Amino acid sequence: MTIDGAESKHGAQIMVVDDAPDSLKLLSEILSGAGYGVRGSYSGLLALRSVAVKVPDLILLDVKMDEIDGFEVCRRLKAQPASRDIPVIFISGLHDVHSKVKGFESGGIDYIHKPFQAEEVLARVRIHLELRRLQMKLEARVRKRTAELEQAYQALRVSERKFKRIFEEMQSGYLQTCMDGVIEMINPAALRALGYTDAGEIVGRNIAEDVYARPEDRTHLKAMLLESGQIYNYDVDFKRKNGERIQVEANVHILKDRQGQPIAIEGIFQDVTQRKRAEQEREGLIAELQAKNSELERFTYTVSHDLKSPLVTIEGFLGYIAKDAADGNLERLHADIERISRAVKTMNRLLDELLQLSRIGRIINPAEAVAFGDLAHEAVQMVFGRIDLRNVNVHIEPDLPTVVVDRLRVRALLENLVDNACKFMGDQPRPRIDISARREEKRTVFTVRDNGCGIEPQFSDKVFGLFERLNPDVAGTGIGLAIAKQIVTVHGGDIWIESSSDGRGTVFCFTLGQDRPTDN
Amino acid sequence: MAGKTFEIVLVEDNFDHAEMVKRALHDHSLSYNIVHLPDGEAALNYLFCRKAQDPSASFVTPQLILLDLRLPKVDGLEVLERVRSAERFDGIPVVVLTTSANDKDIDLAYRYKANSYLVKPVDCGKFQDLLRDLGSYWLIHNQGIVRTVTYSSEALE
Repeated sequence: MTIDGAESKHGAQIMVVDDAPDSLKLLSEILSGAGYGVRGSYSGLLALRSVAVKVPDLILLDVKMDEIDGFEVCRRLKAQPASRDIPVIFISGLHDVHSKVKGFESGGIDYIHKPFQAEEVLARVRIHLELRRLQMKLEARVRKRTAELEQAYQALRVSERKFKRIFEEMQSGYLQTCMDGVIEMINPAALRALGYTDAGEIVGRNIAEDVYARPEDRTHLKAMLLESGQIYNYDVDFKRKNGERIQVEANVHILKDRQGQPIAIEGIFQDVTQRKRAEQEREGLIAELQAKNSELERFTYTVSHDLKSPLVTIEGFLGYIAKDAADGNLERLHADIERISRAVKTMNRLLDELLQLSRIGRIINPAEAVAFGDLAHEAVQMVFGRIDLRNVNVHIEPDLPTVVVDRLRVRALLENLVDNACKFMGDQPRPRIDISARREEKRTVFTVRDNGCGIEPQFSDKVFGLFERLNPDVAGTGIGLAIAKQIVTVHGGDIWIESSSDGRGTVFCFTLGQDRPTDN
Repeated sequence: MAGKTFEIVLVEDNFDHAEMVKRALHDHSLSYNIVHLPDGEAALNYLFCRKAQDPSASFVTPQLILLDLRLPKVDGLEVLERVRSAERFDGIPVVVLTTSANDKDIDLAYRYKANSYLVKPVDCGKFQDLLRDLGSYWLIHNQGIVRTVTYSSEALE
């Protein structure tokens, strides 16, 4: 028979198991009197069945019972997960140690002697209920905390996976070292940038020796970091496994522990060698462009001036001619017409030579092997008029070498130089031009020498400048020598003036980029 | 005013233009003595009495210097700078007479303290008018500095 008590004020349900009806009744009264809900059972088996239906908060268990004794009941209770945690207090007339030990061994938590005192029973019940309550509270808290931890752990794992992915796949290199520079962590991008295939090759080595191109850069970096904690856009040179230098831009941080002590340095970097090279190239191109622009400006300005001058002359003297003709004044008519004619010729020549100059840069005929001597003879033929006019004796050295050049251009070059020499004979009674060549260690130098009025040394560079005319007495456009220089430059050579051995006249020297010895 | 001959130094590399200047100034009632120098080096030599061709000649300070900008050997701007920084030419007008109407040239000419900047016109009549006005303005209307110093031809640089 089971007696079900009413719900107690405490809310705690206590089961009493005793096969002696008096004992059972007494206990029930004591407990319900104290406000507990009581369920009574006079048989162990019945008690077990009752527990299976509804779990009490505490069980008072008599030991000595028929069928199965209290110890066995307890053991069975402890064997079931549903009832395992119910506190079991034995009530027994058996006072010997052996019984008590058996009781605790079977899972009981306390042992009350019969005959029992009401106060004692209540006290123990209260304590154990309290203990049980606290235990359950604790378990609940643990469960909650475990759930939270599990959540946090999951979040951490997701974060870990994300970080790992970023670390593995990002294009920027990642390096972590201890404060002394020993490499602790490196990502695949960094390995690639530095030319290593396996992290094992470089982890454990010192970054200052094996990665920095200049170890002192790392010392410098470390000092800066200790001051400021982080550096952005730090430009530095690294070296790859094969020694090759790369330029790198890095963001670097100091990692600190909880006490604020620096423990590691981590950096994220990118190989900017290509970018820097492109920037340099761009700057070079811009500078070149600016130079070309100002050259063009100067050129345009000079050309417009040199075309305008003859126009002033033409217009001016046309006016005088008109006036003189109207007045019947014929004295200076002829001379003035001459002036105009000359001015027109000047303009014409200017335009021709400008055209020639612009063509040199644009159109290059294929180089062919030709005897320099032949070119010299041809050039002299072309300038024959002026040579004859000034009675110049032109001497071409025999056995001049063969050159591989743009034939027409080099002939034009020689024409220019011979023409120039003739114009500047000055008052030389026996004008002579010598065309020759001399072999030097690494090049052949061709020379055109004259014994004319010479060029003062301070002008020997200026003379090749466009439109530079040193002697206004001599008709010329100032372009001839500039053309000569262009032709020589296009062939990869040089042109310059040397002083003549007897102090008179000029020696023009030039090379044609023929570095190898030429065969005749 | 009558009977007075004005000394003008003309630095011009184009002989045709020099002839035009001489004719234009000759055609008017004023009398000029024009010293024509064909390049920058000759101009400096003459003005600063270096390498005088005639050792006994004495240099007469001109009342007007006409200067072209693009000159062989030594550039017009350099001549301008030298002349303007020499005390002996204080108060002597230096007038730039050139074909260039380029802004940069004008700016530089004034930077080097030219008194005036004239662009040679492409028209005979206008050219003559310009030179006549030029002569009148600087030599008649303008009160020139009174200077009667002559320098011997020893180098005075």
